[in-house]
Amino acid sequence: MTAADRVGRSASRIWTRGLLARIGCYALLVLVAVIALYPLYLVIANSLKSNSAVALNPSGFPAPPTTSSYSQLVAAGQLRSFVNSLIVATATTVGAVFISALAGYAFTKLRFPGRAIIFAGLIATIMVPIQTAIPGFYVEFARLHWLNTYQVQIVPFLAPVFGLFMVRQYLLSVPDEIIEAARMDGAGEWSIYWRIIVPLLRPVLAALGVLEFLMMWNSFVWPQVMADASNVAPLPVTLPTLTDRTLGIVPLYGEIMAGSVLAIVPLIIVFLRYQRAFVSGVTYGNT
Amino acid sequence: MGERRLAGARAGSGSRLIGYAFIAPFVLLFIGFSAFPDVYTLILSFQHYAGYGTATAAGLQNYDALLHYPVFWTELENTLEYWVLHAVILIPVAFVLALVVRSKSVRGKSAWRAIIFLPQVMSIVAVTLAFQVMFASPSGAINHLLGLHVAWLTDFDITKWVVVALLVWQGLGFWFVVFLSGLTSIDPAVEEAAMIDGAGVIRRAISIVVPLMKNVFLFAVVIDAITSMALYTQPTVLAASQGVLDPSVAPLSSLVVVNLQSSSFGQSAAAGWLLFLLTIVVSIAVFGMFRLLGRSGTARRRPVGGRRAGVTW
Repeated sequence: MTAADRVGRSASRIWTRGLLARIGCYALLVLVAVIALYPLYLVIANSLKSNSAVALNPSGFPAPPTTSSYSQLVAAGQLRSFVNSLIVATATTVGAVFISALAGYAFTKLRFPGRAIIFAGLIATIMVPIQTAIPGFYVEFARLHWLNTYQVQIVPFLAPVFGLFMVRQYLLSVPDEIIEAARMDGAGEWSIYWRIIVPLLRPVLAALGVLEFLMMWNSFVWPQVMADASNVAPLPVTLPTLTDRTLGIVPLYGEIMAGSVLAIVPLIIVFLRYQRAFVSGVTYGNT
Repeated sequence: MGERRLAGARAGSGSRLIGYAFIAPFVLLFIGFSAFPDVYTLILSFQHYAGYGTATAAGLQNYDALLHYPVFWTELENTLEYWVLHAVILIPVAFVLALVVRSKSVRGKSAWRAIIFLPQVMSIVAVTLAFQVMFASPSGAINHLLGLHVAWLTDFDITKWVVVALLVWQGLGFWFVVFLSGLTSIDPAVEEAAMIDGAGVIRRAISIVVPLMKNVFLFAVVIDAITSMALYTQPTVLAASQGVLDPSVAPLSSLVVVNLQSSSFGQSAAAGWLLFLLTIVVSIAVFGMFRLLGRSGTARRRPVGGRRAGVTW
């Protein structure tokens, strides 16, 4: 066997190995993709069937597709829940981004007594589960007459500690000289913040906005306890309650799946358009 | 110009007040709507209060009562089971997927990343309801497709696994992206050196990448544990029939809600604080476990620098 032979043979072995590895990788990815997307297919396909057709044929294509579940969903007043979800998530996101950016900047770049202690105290509460505060809140809000309102769903989420953390982590890599230089030029503190810092923060604020919006869009236990009246309840609270009007307990899966399309598809469209903000939300928050 | 300089100097010396002004909205909201209710819950947990009239002192009676309910222990076990079972599948699978998507043999990385991340942006309640349609018995989509007659949602030993499957399905995209970004911070030269030394793909992953990623794993396991203790939505929506959740699949957090709905505010509050204590204990346990692992075996190597050096926790 010549040296050239040997080189040729080992090259071909490497090539076969590479091919096998490639096939293995793609097989795994295709499998994961199918599993990731199957529930989405199921939601969309079943939303185009009548309630009884879902029970008879839950896995197949709708034959023929019908929008009857959607019209029943509208008749059941679920558009109101969708709008409620939208109002609560949007208002909270705008407020929380604004408030955390302001505080995150102050905790990183402004000096004042107690800064480190206050910040540490806030971060330490990250471990408190949302349920811990619910009984105290409930009694507090019952006295304030805030139960079954929008504000009970919005105001408690305007100061997210993870937002503070994200903004701070991001600003740590911004040199103080930028701010000092602006101060030397006589810029006021507010205009430094608004003209220099906010534009710098844009990527992290987009990511924070996405995380906050997703969190609010998904909130369930909170509105279930504090705001389950149909005029203010968000979609996640009302969807599981869509049951047969006469039999009471039988879930109307056609309608529920149509409502799920409302809950899922708009966000997927936004995600596909602004993928970077979604994905970086995960990494800003966690690095 | 002179005037502007003066203004600048003034702003500099007044920045103490400005600092307080900037944090004020956040801190005040936090005190009113996080700190106060947490503390108030703690006070409530030592009282009997039915939602009207006056509260009376209860000492430790609420805690005592909770700890004597068999339901408490069942639900505690459920929460721990959901956590451990989903974490031991979720975290390794997310890591392997990140390795695969990063590897040279895969093209279209951003498309794969988007698909794997997609479940993360889907409404949790909506997909839980989709899982209900999938696993309904006798005529859910899975039974229908595969010709099975498994009682997925009524045989509670099986239902727990459906909850675990849902948690893995949902969390995969998140941790996959975390691991992917952790992997990009590893210096490729380290791996290339090992490749020249003849280390295969799997060997490189285990003895080089995993130790370098130790902090990312610690972070993933801790955060996943903290969120798992507060688990509520998935089992509640998935397994509730006629609006009632059987305690044999309910998570511990449902004790807060159930007691609140029956107007036992004291017991609800005690359940809330027990849940918090559980979260602390579990986090400490996870940190301890990592420290033990770090002391022995492969993970002894120190992580080299990396962008995570700046993390303060």
